[in-house]
Amino acid sequence: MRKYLAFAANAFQRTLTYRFELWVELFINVLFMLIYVYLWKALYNGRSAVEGYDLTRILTYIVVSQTLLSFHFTLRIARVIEEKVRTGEVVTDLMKPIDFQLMLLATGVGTTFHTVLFNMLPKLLLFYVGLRLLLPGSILTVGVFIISVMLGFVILFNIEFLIGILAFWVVEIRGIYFAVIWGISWFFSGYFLPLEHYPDLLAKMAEYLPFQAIIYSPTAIYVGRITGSAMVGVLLIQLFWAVVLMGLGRFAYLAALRKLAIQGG
Amino acid sequence: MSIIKVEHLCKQFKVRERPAGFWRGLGGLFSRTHHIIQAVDDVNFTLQRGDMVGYIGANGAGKSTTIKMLTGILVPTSGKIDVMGLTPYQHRRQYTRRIGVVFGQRTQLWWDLPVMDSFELLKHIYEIPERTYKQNLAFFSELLQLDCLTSMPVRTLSLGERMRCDLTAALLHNPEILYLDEPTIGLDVVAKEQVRQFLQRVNAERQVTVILTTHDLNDVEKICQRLLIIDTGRIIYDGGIDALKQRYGRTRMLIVDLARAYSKIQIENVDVIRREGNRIWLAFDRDTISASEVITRVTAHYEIQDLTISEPEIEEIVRKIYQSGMTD
Ligand SMILES: Nc1ncnc2c1ncn2[C@@H]1O[C@H](COP(=O)(O)OP(=O)(O)O)[C@@H](O)[C@H]1O
Ligand SMILES: [Mg+2]
Repeated sequence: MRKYLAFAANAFQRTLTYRFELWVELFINVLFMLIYVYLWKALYNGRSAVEGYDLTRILTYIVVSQTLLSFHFTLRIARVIEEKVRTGEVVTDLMKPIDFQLMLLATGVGTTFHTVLFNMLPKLLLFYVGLRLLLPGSILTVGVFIISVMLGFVILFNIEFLIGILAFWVVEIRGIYFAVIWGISWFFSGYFLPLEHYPDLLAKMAEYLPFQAIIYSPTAIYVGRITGSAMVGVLLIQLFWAVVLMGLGRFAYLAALRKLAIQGG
Repeated sequence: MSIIKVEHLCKQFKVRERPAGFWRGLGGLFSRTHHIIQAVDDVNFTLQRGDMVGYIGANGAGKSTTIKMLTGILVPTSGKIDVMGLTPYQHRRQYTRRIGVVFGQRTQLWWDLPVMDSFELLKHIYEIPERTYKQNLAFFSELLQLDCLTSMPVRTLSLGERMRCDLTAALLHNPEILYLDEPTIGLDVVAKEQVRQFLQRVNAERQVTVILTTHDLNDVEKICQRLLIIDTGRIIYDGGIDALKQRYGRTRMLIVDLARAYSKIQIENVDVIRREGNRIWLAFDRDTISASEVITRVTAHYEIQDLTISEPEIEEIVRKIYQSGMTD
């Protein structure tokens, strides 16, 4: 456990060296969020509520989901694995008494913790103050929300890990990466629009996919769309996906090791 | 007591023809067109605790592939590896705690971090007790003069400096075996010598079993009691360095720059094995004729500008081993 903490701390430190990039990213994020906010204000002009969301609630939803979307920008574990395989650096990881999957999870936690502190929390605070957004209903909701966010993070990590492991077999994973992470995942995660607004068929599909557990679940808890015992159900579904995907990742990784062929010294 | 036992070890690589592009890249998964490269072919050897062995071969001979199987990174196609009672690729986590590995062409240190941070991280990874860690760090710092290096990021170090840090990194957790794949590659003469002396001390004073691959005979000449020579995946020599030199290393090479062009060059007991413009390569057997005698004869008949004597190269020795048919 200590060693994985050390990895996380280390990744956190390394991220500190890319400060300027982070400011640029924050700036662009805020611009996009402003665009979404004005879009929804225009759409709601005169209406009271759509699918159970009034204007304040939908704005809260958008701000929280956009904030959580930052996980997608920060994590990039698939690309990290691809790079390690391409350069053969994976060899140096395999030589060490560590678990590759947990090591990458720890690294991901380290870099993401940095994003949480210097990107996500400031964004949330800024929009909360600027737009008088909703606060979670109770302390309990806050607690459940945080757990839900962490489970969503682990799910995203494992999806990325699975894609990354493909790099052991195929030369080029960028196509798959963009298709899954920036296509399917974005679409079904509900970052742009609450899933209640989706056509029935798509909403149903989203329900059976792990992607909604990354952004929609925690956000819906935050804005009070999922309450009471329903929250427990959502957490259990998230936990289910986290465990299943982690197991799949481990299985794929072990299969990859048997096939591993790294050329050169 | 034997520490490493390798039996009938083989590794084949299946190389597919894989066209570029996304979908065709995926198609490579199912493509049937491939050819087999036999990188390691029926290798057998046993090492004793405390041995220091040179694993020698030309480029592409199969050295790195062997090391990667010994360290548990690659799974053998067939054959058996038993190291301290463990099968490396099966007991990887347990096994890696007890070995140290250095790859000359890559670093195990974290590129962006100061060297010391990498060492600290390794302390956690290997769960090295604080006392051992401090002692080892002090020991290696002094031996390898690391003092002014450890605060610098790895990417700013020279190759020689980086190698000194990598050697330390591989030994911090007191491994019983140290594997080194071409640790002197790209280093200058002084740095190479420093690495060799260091390895000798580590082997002698800390009883670490050392396997060292190289294509440079000078690396092993003074420090390894035993040599394994590998060529196209097969072990073609297993024995002492002296016996090898006795048998195959008697040839010396004299490289001569002639002052002008000669149409024909003939010297008794000396072979002209290559010519390039006014430069000629002369091979002679040092038991038949001495170097000074060769030089006397050359200068007696030809006008020369410059000359150098070179030691036999690994390729030359491998050629001789094949010629003599003693590939047991
Ligand atoms: N991953 C790989 N895929 C295909 N061929 C490989 C791979 N790794 C090594 N080879 C081939 O196997 C042979 C031995 O390589 P290697 O062990 O790296 O040699 P050395 O380290 O002695 O230079 C070479 O012909 C090399 O091209
Ligand atoms: Mg090599």
